[in-house]
Amino acid sequence: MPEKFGFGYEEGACEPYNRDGEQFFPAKCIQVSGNVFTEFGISVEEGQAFSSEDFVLDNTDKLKAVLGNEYKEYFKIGDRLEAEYLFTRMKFEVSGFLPPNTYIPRNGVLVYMDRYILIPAFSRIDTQRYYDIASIALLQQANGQIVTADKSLDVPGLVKALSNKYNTLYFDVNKIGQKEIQRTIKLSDEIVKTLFLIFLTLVVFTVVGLTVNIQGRIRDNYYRYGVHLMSGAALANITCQIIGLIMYIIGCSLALSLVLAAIATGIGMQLIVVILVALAIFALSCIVPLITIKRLDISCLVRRKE
Amino acid sequence: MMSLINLDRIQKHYGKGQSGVCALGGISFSIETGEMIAVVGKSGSGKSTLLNILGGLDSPTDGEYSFAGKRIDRLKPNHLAEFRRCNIGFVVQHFALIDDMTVFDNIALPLRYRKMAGKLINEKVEHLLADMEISDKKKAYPPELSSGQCQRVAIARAIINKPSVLLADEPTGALDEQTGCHIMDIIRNLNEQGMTTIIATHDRDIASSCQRIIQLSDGHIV
Repeated sequence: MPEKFGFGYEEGACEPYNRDGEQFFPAKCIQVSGNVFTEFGISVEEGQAFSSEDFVLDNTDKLKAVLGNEYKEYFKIGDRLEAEYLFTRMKFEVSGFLPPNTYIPRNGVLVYMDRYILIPAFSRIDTQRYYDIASIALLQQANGQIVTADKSLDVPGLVKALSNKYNTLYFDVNKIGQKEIQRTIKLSDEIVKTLFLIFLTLVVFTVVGLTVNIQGRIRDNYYRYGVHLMSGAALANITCQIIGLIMYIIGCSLALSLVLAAIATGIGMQLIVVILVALAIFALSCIVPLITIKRLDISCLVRRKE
Repeated sequence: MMSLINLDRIQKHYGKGQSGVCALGGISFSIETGEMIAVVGKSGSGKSTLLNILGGLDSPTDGEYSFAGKRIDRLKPNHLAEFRRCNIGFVVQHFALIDDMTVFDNIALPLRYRKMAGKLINEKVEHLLADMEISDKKKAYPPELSSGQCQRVAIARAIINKPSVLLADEPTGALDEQTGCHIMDIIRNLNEQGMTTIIATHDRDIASSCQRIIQLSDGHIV
């Protein structure tokens, strides 16, 4: 195997290593998820890209690999590669080749793929058979921070056990203490409380504003309601008119809110929250006007203007 | 023979305790179908309260009110509305028209609460507009009409459902003498066609033209 395919070759730091009496050559390799081809507009020049079954690890002898273009000189579709991957011997079948000059962005840097082996980033692993691989894959995917107060998830312990077993594992664990976790949770609680307070204030302002407005309209329309009642309307009809008016105001506001929320955050379940808040405001805004209508003195509605 | 309207010791109190007011202090009388009755009395004597109770706009505090043998004082608000819709027509001094509705819509209002079909509403309203000689004012708004025309619209609205009782509270109070006479002619004509008519009035001439006069003073029949 030419050295140019070795990990660290360009930096002059590509050295073979021995394990259990066998010599290994560290090749440039990258795990890719299923959507990497569509996300970055990468096509396979020859052969096939990964299918969804290729991301399931249940047999280490039947795996697929897509090779960079410079590998074409040495392999063809269907050839088999045997390698140690994730500290386990695995067999890969070449399923395709990338076109020349293919780049994939990784951590903000474009990586030249022509000398790389692309391996599926396993989304499902048979944990019964491949517990260690599953653990390492999990740690690889957790490339951000793990913040947990749950002592049962002992990340440093897991890393240490794997490191001891394989004598090497590049994974930094920054353990956050219980105090920091509590502080983070407290901070989150404070933010939630503040947001709730703002939410409550807005709801109260809306409900009170709407109620005062509707009450004013009811007062302005006493005479009109009297005429309707004389003409055969029931109080229920007047109530429907008032509820219709509140629904109209809330409906217009809700439509606008939904449009703005959809523009700001996209269409999703969060819009249900907007609808629920609108329904709550509608229900609260109806209370006082309904009581007022119920207590209307019908006989006083149409007074003689003497 | 059963009376159309029968009031038995009807009382109406507003407020409670010492600040309470007794508007009607236990009045009893009957009205036969087709009668024309005047209710007279000074302001505050209880005329309007009596008409409100008769029209189902208000409920008595005590006593029994029967209409065609049916107890009205026990009806729930929705049934009271139905009673008003089917049996009572109201005419008041200042017409009680809705200013932002056309003459047509004002007259059609009771029919809409009966959920009548649009075509039928159209026919009935057109017919009444012709009877009241205000067909040309169909699309006008009440502020564009004279007082006499407004009261004709109010009468048309009151009778469009063909109620058995017409309650008129000072129907000529806001009109000049000539227009008032014309409106009374319309009301008398309706009574002659069989509509029981009860008029609350200060006008002695109108009262004397009725078959019977009920005089109220401080909530009692004198």
